[in-house]
Amino acid sequence: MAIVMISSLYQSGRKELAEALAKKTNWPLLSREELVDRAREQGIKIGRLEVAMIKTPNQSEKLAHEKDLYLAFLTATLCEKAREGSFIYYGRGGHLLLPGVSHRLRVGLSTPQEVRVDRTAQALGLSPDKAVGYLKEIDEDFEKWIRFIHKVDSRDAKNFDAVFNLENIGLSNAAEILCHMAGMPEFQPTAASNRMVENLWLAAQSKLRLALDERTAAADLQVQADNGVVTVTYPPQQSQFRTNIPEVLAELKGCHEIQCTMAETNILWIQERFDPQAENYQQIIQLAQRWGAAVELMRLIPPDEGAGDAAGTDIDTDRAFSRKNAVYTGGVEDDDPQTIYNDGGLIRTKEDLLGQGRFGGQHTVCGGYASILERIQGNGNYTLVVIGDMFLSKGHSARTRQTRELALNIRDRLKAPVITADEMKSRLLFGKKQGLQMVGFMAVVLFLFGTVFTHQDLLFSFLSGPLHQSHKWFSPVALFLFIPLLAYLWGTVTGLALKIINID
Amino acid sequence: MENHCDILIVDDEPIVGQRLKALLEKEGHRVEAFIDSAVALQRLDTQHFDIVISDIRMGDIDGIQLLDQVLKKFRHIKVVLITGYATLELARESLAKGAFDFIAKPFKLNEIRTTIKRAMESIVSQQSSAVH
Repeated sequence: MAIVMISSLYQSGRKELAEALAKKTNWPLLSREELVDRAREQGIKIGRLEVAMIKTPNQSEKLAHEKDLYLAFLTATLCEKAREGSFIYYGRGGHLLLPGVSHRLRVGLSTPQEVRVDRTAQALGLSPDKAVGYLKEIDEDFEKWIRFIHKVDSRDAKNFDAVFNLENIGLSNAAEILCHMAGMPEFQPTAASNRMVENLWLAAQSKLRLALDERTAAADLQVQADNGVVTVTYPPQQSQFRTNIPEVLAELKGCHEIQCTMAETNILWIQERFDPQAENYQQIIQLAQRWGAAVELMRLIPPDEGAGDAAGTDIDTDRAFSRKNAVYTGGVEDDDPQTIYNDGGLIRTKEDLLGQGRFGGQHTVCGGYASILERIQGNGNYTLVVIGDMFLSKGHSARTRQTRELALNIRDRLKAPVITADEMKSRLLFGKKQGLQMVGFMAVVLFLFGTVFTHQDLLFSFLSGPLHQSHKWFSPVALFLFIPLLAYLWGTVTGLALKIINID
Repeated sequence: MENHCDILIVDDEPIVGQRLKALLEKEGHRVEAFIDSAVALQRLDTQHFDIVISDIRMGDIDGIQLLDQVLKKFRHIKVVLITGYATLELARESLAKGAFDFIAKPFKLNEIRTTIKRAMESIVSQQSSAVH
């Protein structure tokens, strides 16, 4: 039994190679286009995902969620096919699907550019010049797609088991080689790889059910499956979905147990405006990845700016509505209110966090610290609260003072560690500045130790010998200063060293 | 032209034409909607239009063929293609063949509104550069 996954650039012969292999083996063929059409029938908005590679998506575009669904659909379908026996799949990024299944044979193709240009010109009725331009753009789009969907470099050789250069080998011979390869012990299913197929299928099916059911469609859930146990993790402020999750997953074949857990390690990030490109966002992500934490976003709108209709629960009810159960509109949907008001970068940041699997929820509140506390009351299970850029309309000194007051108030009420974004880097992250500090302090510590061990006679004289007799008060004072100084230096060095190995 | 333009919509699903017509007329544009691309092409011979919004997957003449034929005869017309079967390759093909924009269904009304606005700006800038 074999799973052959063929991927290549546009007009590089993947379909032809798949057909040649199918002819030799009689294994069924499955194309990405076929799966994508089936996914569309399920209400997954794949077109929006595809076009997002060439156009800047709308602010309100929920691409991370759609990407998850697309991958879940492909994974579920391919796993079902894998249960039936051998098959050949071909399509964009096919070699990156079913990660961890050791018996899949991942195949790439390298085709001479002039062949691709000829084929493109013929297929699309373009002039050779236009075909060259078209291929340049579509190859860049392909690269973007792989990076967005799979987060890897499309040309990374470690993601392939075989790459054929069609300049030197014909399709028939390449298919012949693949026949032999597919029979090798390395590409035969094992108990572990079959279990991996089952786990992938169960997780993907659970994701699809939860996302396509109106009871849970608006929730931001993380799903894992292992040996029939499905674990669904939800953010603290979405605990209302807890009872719906087992209902939706009931009677899912192969699921013996459902565990619903609330994300435990949470970082609450409070800020006026969010930007996934900003430095403090990268720092938060770094911290969240190190701690395995989810990041909860809270946008605070100062009372003088007014909340309008922005404040609310921020649960994405649009998701459920716009899928299968919505009134048919022919694909022409009414405007989403979120596209109209200024969300302060909340949606883009949420999308990015979802893409990284770190989204822990979102809130928009209007007012001061009382509004913040009111909103998070009862959810106060935070590992850390980060106060980002706040009170932006105020002057520097007023901003610093009000931020400090806000931090103190939140700390008192939530009993959670609260730091400002400026403090975060110096206290929790390891950057260039911390690296220099560590090297400098280490040098001083080594110098001090070296001095102590190479000047023993002088030291004993200073502590209890002739030098001590002549300057009785000097040695206790020197020791009083030296010990805490050394402790501070050594403590800082070890603290920074622990940060490097992710121990805070 | 500054505030409104003449728009022709072609989609074999009547609901698409109805919804877009209602929106665009409300914005002050003159709109005609067709479900048959051949009839829409005939109409283009008799009436002036600035913008054509067309579906891609249709009966006899699909959106790409319509794009070719429209641009062959009326180079000034901005063609916007919409489809529920959008792929990267199809979007790039449409743009390479001269489509002004490519929109994947489902889309929000605001998206088509923005595209029409951009198309109108492009027409105005082309007209003013032709005058100079």
